[in-house]
Amino acid sequence: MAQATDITTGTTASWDGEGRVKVVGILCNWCSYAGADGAGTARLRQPFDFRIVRVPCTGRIDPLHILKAFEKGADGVLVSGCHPGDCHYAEGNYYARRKLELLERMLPQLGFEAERFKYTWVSASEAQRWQQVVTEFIKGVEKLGPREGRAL
Amino acid sequence: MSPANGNYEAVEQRIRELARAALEEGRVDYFIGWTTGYNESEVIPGFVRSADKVDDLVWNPLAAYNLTTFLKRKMPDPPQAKIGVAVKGCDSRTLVSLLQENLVDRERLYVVGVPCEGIVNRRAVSKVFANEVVKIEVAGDQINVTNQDGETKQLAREDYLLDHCRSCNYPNPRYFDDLAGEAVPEPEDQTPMWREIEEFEALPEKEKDRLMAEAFEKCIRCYACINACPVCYCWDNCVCRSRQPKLVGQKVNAQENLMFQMVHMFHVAGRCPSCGNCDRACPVEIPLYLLHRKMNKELKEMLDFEPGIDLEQKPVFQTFDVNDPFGQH
Amino acid sequence: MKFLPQDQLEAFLSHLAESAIVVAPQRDQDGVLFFQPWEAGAEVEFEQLLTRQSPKDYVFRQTETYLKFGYEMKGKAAAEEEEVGKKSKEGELAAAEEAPPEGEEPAHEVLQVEAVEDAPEQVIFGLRPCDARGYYQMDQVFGGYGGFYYDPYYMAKREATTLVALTCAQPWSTCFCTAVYGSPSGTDGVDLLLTGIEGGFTAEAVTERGEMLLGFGGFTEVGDGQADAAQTVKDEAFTAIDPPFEIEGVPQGLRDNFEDPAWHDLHMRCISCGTCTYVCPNCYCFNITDEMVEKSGERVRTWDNCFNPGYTLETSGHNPREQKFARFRNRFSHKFSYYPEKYDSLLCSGCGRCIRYCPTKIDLREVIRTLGQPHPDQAAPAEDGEAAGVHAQTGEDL
Repeated sequence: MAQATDITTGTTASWDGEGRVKVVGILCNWCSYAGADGAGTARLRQPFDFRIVRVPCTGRIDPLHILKAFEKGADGVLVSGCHPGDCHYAEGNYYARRKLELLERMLPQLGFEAERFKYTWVSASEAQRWQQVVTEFIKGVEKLGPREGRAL
Repeated sequence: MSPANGNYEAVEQRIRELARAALEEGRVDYFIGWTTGYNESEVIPGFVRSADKVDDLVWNPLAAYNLTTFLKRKMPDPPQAKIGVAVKGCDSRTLVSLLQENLVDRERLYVVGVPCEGIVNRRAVSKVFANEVVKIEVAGDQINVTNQDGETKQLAREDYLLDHCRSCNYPNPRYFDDLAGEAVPEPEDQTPMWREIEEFEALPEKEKDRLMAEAFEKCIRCYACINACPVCYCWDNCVCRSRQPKLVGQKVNAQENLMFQMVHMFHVAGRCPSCGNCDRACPVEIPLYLLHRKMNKELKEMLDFEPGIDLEQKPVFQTFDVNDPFGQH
Repeated sequence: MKFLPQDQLEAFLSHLAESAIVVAPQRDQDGVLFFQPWEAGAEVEFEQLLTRQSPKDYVFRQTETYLKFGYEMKGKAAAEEEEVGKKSKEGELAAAEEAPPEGEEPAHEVLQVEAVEDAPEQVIFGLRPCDARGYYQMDQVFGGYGGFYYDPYYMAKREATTLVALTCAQPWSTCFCTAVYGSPSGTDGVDLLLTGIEGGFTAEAVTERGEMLLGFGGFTEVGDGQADAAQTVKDEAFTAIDPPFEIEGVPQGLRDNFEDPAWHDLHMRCISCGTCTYVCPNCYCFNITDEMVEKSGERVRTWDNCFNPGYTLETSGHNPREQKFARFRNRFSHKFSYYPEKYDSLLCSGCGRCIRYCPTKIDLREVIRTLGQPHPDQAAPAEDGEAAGVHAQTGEDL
């Protein structure tokens, strides 16, 4: 059984078995991936039920990539990129924002609980924030548990 | 929607006149309008290549088909044809979406706008008899349906209009060269109404999930929805048929089918005015239209945007605004 | 001939359901009629003539899993090997280079294949003679007719299937079975034919299998005039269909009209979807793919159709039927010309579903009428490349 510190309570809680929930993170190379890396380097505790896909920019992400992750069995998907205005490619995340927002609004229509998808912005220097974002997100997914008998 | 004036014959005559003139003057190689199908309950796309055939064209409240589908890339035969096309209000909005992206050549297009007072939901009407419906006739506020035994039932027109016609804010074409007949009155308040999706939206997630699975279990992946869609233009290169990358599997089950439908939905996001052509094309009656309505509702709330209204506007997903009122977190 | 009183219908279905899956036309939540597995108490609908799709899916499945496959590690300390492999690639390589202890196999992957057997005993109940004829024609393709390929997957299911057909009392305006050698009470492929008359159904066994079904206790001997009543229903239905075309000469006519410009007119409203082929009781084209995640997966056969761009796409990238009109032409030519040249019948049983459920209501009868006979006003064959030259451009991007 995996152990991790619950940063909100400060206790060491057990994550109920690796793979109880599968969460996919799609992170941009320049900000959020570096941020997550920074969190690791700083030895900030993070949940393990998390698989990261690194993309050059959130602008590269098609809403279908996220749906595909769900279709292949992800219980939650977290997308994170550079803060608006800070995109390495100047404007990629502005395009991404529109697409991701539409997806976020459409998912409940397809029978997804709102907690299963989140898009957010974490910069390379925000290791602390990253830890908080990912922990909170995964706790939300944990609460819902694995998706079973689902349409997509 | 206001009761019909029943001015169909005058409009029909006008469509024929305009088509005849265009064909005779050689401005178009062929004209696409509506014609009667295998019986009088079906109105289907009609292609007229010569002026003496224009009397085949009809206009009545069964003319549901969105003819701008036939302007899509790789559809015209021959490819460089000059085409005349009749469009209703909703059809013209898909045409505007195509024009915004330069996907049809305006130079080779002659557009006849048809003011529309609402189209009959043929699918619903045909279910009032167990055996075959052979004739559907609209007279004022009444629909007369006749079956193969000659029995006739009378239905209230209001109850059997297509969903999107009941809440239609743009009955007159947004883009045309000539208008066939007088423009019909448009509602003063053009705030969109979403009543047909509100019931579904209010359901709990689990229930929506179940209903989606149930609906898409039926899908036979014939691809009629995407091929009938005027703004879904990838034709033979659709990613849902691609193996590399493989976004959608070959197996036909609810999950893959829904994934396939998502390919369609996200591709047409911001360009689909929910004309309902996909929905009507579906041979197994999956209510696809509701998904697209929901998407348009969200776009309206997100960006105060309605597809296919303004020719000069850029499609919303091909541009951005740094002040977009969301995603600040 | 026997008689099944209406009130014995449910009992008969229950009787059949004891030893087999019973598939019968039932309405779904949207009121659309489909063939669905029947359970006691469910309402079977015989009033509507045709279901939305033919019942071919129950024998020729839209998704048929042939087999499942995967790899398993075997040999020396397989589990340990995997552990090393996970840690790092170098680790795996190093482990593989180590000489295995004597008498032990080196670690290696072994392909595991598991066949999928899926041929339940089933009765398809209440299908129409045109649907049954669809099986009859597919049997030729998959059953080794004329020394051609014998398909064990199809045939296993086909042999476990009993067809109980129902005479069409009131054909629709799109029906044309009488034009293609069929009949509203045709018995090709049928095991037991029911005909609805007052108070119930007459039942005629066509095959031995059908004869066995007549052993059910609910059947009575046909009463006075019941056989005649059934005959009247059949005759009336037969005469209700006005054959829309003369079938003689159509196979050759389509051959002769291969380059006819009329194809370019008729295909115009085709949107190149596959609806006509997927609702058809006869169309049998399929595709085989390995659906896999990493190294394990399934080999599946799925329906394919001649309007699909991948249908004729070659590995080189060349697609001989890239243009819509060519795909359109192939569908009709296959049904009425290529298939009859190879087998002993037509690949159309005249149900008219392709007309009715086509998104643009393309009328097969019109196509055959126009192109199935030598064209009266047909000009001399076009000069080489003339007609073809114009349309050869269709493949180009606009």
